[in-house]
Amino acid sequence: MSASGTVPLITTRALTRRFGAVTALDALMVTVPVGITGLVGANGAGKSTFVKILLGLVAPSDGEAAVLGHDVVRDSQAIRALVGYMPEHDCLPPEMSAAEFVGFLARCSGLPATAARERAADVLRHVGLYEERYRPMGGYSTGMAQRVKLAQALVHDPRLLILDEPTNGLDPAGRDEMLALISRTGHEFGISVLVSSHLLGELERICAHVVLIDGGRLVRADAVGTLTRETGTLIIEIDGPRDQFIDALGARGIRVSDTGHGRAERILVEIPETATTADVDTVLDGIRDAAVVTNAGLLRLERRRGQLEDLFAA
Amino acid sequence: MSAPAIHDLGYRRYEGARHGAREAWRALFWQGFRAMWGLGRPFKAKAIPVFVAVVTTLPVLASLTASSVSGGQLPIRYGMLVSGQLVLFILFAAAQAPEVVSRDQQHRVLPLILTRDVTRLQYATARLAAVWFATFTLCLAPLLLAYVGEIGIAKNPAVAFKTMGSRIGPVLLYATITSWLFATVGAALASLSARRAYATASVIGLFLVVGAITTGLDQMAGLSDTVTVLLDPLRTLRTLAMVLFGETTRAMELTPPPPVGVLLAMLVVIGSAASALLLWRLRRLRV
Amino acid sequence: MTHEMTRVMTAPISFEHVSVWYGDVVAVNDITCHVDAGITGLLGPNGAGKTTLLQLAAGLLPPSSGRVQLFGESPVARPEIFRHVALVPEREALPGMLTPREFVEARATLLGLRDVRGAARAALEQVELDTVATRRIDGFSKGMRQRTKLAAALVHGPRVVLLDEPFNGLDPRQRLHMMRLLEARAAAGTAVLLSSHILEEIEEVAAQILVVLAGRLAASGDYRALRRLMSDRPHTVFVRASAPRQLAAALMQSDTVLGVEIDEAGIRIRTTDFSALSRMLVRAAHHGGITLHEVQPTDESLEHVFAYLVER
Repeated sequence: MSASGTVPLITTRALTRRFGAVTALDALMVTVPVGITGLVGANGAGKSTFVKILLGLVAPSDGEAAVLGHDVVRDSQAIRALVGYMPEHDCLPPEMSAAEFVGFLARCSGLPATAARERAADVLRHVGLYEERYRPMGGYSTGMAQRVKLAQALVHDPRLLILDEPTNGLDPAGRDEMLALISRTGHEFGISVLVSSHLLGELERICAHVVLIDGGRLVRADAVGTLTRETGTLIIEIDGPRDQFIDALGARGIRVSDTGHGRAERILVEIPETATTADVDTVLDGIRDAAVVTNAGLLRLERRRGQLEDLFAA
Repeated sequence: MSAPAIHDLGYRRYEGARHGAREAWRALFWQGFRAMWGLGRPFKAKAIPVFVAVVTTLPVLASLTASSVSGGQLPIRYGMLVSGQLVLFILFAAAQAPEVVSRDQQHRVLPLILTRDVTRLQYATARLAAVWFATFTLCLAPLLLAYVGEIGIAKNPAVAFKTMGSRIGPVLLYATITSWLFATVGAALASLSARRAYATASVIGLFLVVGAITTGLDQMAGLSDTVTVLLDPLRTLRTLAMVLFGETTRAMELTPPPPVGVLLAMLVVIGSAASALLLWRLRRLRV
Repeated sequence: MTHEMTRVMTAPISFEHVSVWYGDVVAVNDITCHVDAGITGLLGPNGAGKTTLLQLAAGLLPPSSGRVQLFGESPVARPEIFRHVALVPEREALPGMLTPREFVEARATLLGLRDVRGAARAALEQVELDTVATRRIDGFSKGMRQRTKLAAALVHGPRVVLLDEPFNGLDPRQRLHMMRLLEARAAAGTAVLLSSHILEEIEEVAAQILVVLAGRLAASGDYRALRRLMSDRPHTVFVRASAPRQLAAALMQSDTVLGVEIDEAGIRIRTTDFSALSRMLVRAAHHGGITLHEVQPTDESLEHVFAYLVER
């Protein structure tokens, strides 16, 4: 949660938006702190409506929202100068070059022509586009296209970036690079980021906070650290005779609970909440000894951590 | 050599000037203007603009040459010149307006523009102004060339300027009103269709159909000349050209056309209606 | 013919020295492999040839050289083989004016199913589109379109299912649901070949992977086994223990341990033989009365394996 005295990034109060009979946002109350935050929710949960309201593209039916202290209805102009948006869909005119396109959008953000050109060049360099920036974007790969989309969101030096599925269509190497770029932007460039994504693994990697919306309402808003903290379940993987090992555990008073889904070679042991450190150590030593006795090797021994996925399991 | 230094090429804040919507409007306007003329694009995009520009200026050059060779016996008939070129002006506006008006929608660039320092109304006016100004330059070129040419090739330019110098007024006025009509109609119809071919065809078709209907009505109902002139914008423009440049025909002497003010008003009204349609359409676009 | 060879040749999908070229561009370069029942992940950078491989398996494309076989027969222009295969392509324009029910029923009809309505309904229920089965596709979101394609692909209960980035646009719950669906099919004997960039997900469900780089097969098999095969890349294992230095000293005795790094978090052991280390660890800890709090291989994940393969 934000410390007192700092302006939260985004706050809403009973934010509502109706489209005819459909209520997309239902008295949404959420506070998004400064930093990198993930926005998750089922399709149709209201995420895109929420984002459009923040960007000033859609007006709320009821309630209020503020971005960096500015009201989305009264101060929309101010917000748009402070926010950069990277949409999910394709949005690059094929016949323009990246340099031209980003420079043009910089001017649309009010930067004078020369400054716009320089900023565009600078930002394109930061996202990793070098000579390619002078070629028409129609020939760009997905990776290059995503970088241009990010560049145009950064060109006017916003305080907040809103990214919609930024790794869409990228291969694993491209995803890594994009996530690293987003992380750098949030940490080194000092720009807050709101990432809307369905890929929970990514959000766990780069976000400090996460906001879960469903049915137009806030379901959960928490620090990722809290949601992914260690649980009371130990995960064990051994290299050796599995059944004998489990028997050896039993002989030491260690009960095995169900094995994790899809990972048949994993063995799970529950540590009760009431266990003291000494109790836990006894269990750990028991596992160690059971492995020695059955001539097994210990490949993995760790506490299972919570996952963002668990938010959806309910 | 100065002391060694490693410069921080890290991300820099932008502390410079921000000119707000003014700059955005200018950017949208000039980008639109360049798109109308195909500037900064491969040759294919310039094909129609260049074609039209050449075909509208060649006759002027020919006339100027003839006039010069004949020692001033063949003065340029501005009205006739321009009347014949109206269709070409329509072609330009119809073919190029979609480049300005529909492209952003087609490529889904609008969310990137409208989340910046520019309102929908400002966006719409900037694009419309670009279409209009580009069309204006096209409409003006042959007339201006004729005007400057005539004065230039005269045996005594200074005298020529005294006699026909005031022609610049009608030249500017005519170019303005012609481009106003074609640009607004072209842009309005372009905003209704995402496909360039449909937009172009519909604009040209519209003018032809209106002309045909007017002729048809005339034959069926025997309308007065005054009415037919006002119903068909192309006829309005041709009549206006004749009147402005003092080239009235016999028929016009028998039945005088409506006053210039009325002709202008009609064209302004049609153009304004088209503009309103365009603005309405652009403001309603879903982003 | 050996038993192994027969098994391979009648495998659900088998590629034998398959190449595909378009003029100068070699999309697939001499690939030999087979795919069995179960879920197989097809991985590779963009443009590596994954889509081409899927099209070959679906019989949409004949190989320029080599043989592609489905259950021992070539699928090219063979409708009776098509019945057993389904392809869910990445990009495919769905007819906007149809409803998902109409689309799936049309496919069921084309495939000659007896109970067209029933099969279509079951397929739509499986992908949770039954509530919107009569709405037009052109109003659908990306995720709903994906699910429509999936339903159409599964309607005839094919024995081979080929999917090209099928979960694009689906929310976490939908992804999970689709994964379970495919797992169930795989467990029942279907061969599922699934191309995806989301390695965390493939790691969860794929027993086998095929890695394609620039048209060539870079690796195949269980990714953990592949990791063990990479003997030129020592494993790094992170260990937290009650007496880290003592443990480190004991482990250093072995010549399979290349080095140990110690910091306040724990110790990081680099070894050429992960299996041997796993035994030494418990023995040394037991011998020294050291409690092991955590043992974690740090570069065993599919992401790491894939990154190493691409780097080579």
